[in-house]
Amino acid sequence: MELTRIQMDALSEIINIGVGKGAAVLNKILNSHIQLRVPLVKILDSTELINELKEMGNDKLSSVNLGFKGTLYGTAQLIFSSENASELVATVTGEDIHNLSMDDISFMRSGTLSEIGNIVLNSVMGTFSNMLSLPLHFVVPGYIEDYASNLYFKMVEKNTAILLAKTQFSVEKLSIHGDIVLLFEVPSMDVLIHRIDQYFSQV
Amino acid sequence: MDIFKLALEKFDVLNHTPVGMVVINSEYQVLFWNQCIEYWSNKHSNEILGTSLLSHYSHLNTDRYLSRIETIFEGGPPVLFSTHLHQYFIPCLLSNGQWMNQNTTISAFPSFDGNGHYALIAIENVTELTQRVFEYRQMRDKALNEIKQRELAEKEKEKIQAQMLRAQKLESLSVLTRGIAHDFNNQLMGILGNASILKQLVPQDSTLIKYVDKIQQATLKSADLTKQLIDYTGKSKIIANFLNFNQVLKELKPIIDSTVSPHIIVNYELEKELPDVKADTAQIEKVIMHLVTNADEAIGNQSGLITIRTHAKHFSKEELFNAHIEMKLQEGFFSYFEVQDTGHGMDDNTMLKIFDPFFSTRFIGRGLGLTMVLGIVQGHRGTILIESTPQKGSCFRVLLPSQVKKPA
Ligand SMILES: Nc1ncnc2c1ncn2[C@@H]1O[C@H](COP(=O)(O)OP(=O)(O)OP(=O)(O)O)[C@@H](O)[C@H]1O
Ligand SMILES: [Mg+2]
Repeated sequence: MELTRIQMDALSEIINIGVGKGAAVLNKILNSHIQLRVPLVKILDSTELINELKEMGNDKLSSVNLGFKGTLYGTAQLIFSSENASELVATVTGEDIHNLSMDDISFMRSGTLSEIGNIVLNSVMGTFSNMLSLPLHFVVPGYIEDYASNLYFKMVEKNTAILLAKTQFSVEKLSIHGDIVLLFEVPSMDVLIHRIDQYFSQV
Repeated sequence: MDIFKLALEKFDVLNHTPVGMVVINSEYQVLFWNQCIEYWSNKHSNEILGTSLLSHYSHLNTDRYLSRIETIFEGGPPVLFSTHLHQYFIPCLLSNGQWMNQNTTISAFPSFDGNGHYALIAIENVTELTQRVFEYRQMRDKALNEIKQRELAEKEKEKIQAQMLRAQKLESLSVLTRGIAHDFNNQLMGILGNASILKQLVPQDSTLIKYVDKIQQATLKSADLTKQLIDYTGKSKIIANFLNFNQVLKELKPIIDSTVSPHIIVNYELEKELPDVKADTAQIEKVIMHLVTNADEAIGNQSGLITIRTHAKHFSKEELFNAHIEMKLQEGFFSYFEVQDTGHGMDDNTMLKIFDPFFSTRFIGRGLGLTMVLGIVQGHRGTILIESTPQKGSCFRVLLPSQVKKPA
């Protein structure tokens, strides 16, 4: 399965628009400018995915994920390092999170980050499904704290090829940065490519 | 079939969950209101079914809710509202009078007629969890506060010790100075006596006479100096009577104005109703004159401002505690005058030493002025509060206990 240069570009553009909308909302919540990098789009097999995960380091990560199915299968994720996650929660809620017990931190974090992640990911996926005219069913969003390798364990296990679209964003005032990652399972890739071509022919 | 009946049938299972469940259509009309939310909100489904949710809960009628709920009707991804960012979605009063903490998830549900989506609202009660966080926070704040109090007490102790040390040092310096001055004075008297005998024995027309005169003059000068030393460091006798700082200042004004350099303006801000104090007028005049002289010297050759103020107020223990010298005063009502200047000010290090006999930063200073001032004020059971900022100026405030005149 290969994507052409043009298809890749179209995909990054769509993701960029979606992430941009999400960032605008995040900007309102945090009252700080959000900077976005140009998205990176790659097709990976499971070994490449593992390598990709290794790059994310050995730290514990906080991840909000929004699963979707329908014409496409996959998940959209908003990922922070645990430190950045705490910082973000502290900023949004005004709580000094470093002094809370582990249980309470994860309660605060899961609550606050789920909503932040929800806002951002909904913008990304909403745009995505609108622009490509792909009706999607969404699973209720979840929040996980775990190591990178465990976060994607299921994907790796399935041994299917994966389309990874990743973009980094940073909150200027707070030096918080995180990743927005979209993972699509390749069995549904044909549809995606078809829709990308359609999108491309429109512009 | 009636849409509400249909909803009741389809969603009946949701009446059996411990979660508040609400279904609305894209007009925000309530189609389903489960038993749990009925109980929590104290609003019966009869009251709300078929009406607009927004008309009951106007806080939802704002962009921060609407813009996100709207996407649901188009089949968008579920929307979350966390209690950390919005305490509740539907306000529910708990038996203890507080609002319930809620986490709310809204997801799209295909509408019965196949056109668009309904919003299925699931509300969880997370009060207990939130409460735990809250209690923890209170505990933490209390602990932090205790630590702070302890640190403060510790600092206060250190300050008292430092004050005591300074007071002791001053006391022993004064005793030493006075002792030397006394002995020295006795020796001077010896010199003076012998010089007058010498003067009688030397023929009147001798050239030696003028040397004898010089011995006498120098000895008298020295005697004067030692007398001053004794006065300044000792607790001279106080002849106390009722006096008013305002009155003293009015009488001193011509002297003050002629003492102060012409490029300095002296301002008087005298409190109209100033209670009397019990004090020795001559000694208080000395104190005022000396503080004014110091202020004048601190301003130096530049132009500047000296403000002399009087006032009376209650001073708390903490305020009195800020005096640089330990005086063991009770809190209470004090009348005070202060001399404020726009001179060179002092750093903290200088401030610690200014009352020491012979401490001076001035080329020609003897460093006895403030020693005398302190001796007088202590003798009157008063205290001195000082504020000073380098390059900005200083303010010396002299407090004496206010005397309330007994009603006749
Ligand atoms: N108003 C003031 N502003 C700044 N520093 C002051 C002021 N009053 C006193 N000081 C500091 O305190 C020191 C001691 O003052 P004190 O009056 O005891 O001695 P002196 O003025 O130096 O000499 P003298 O014995 O002639 O008064 C001064 O040398 C000066 O450093
Ligand atoms: Mg002086």
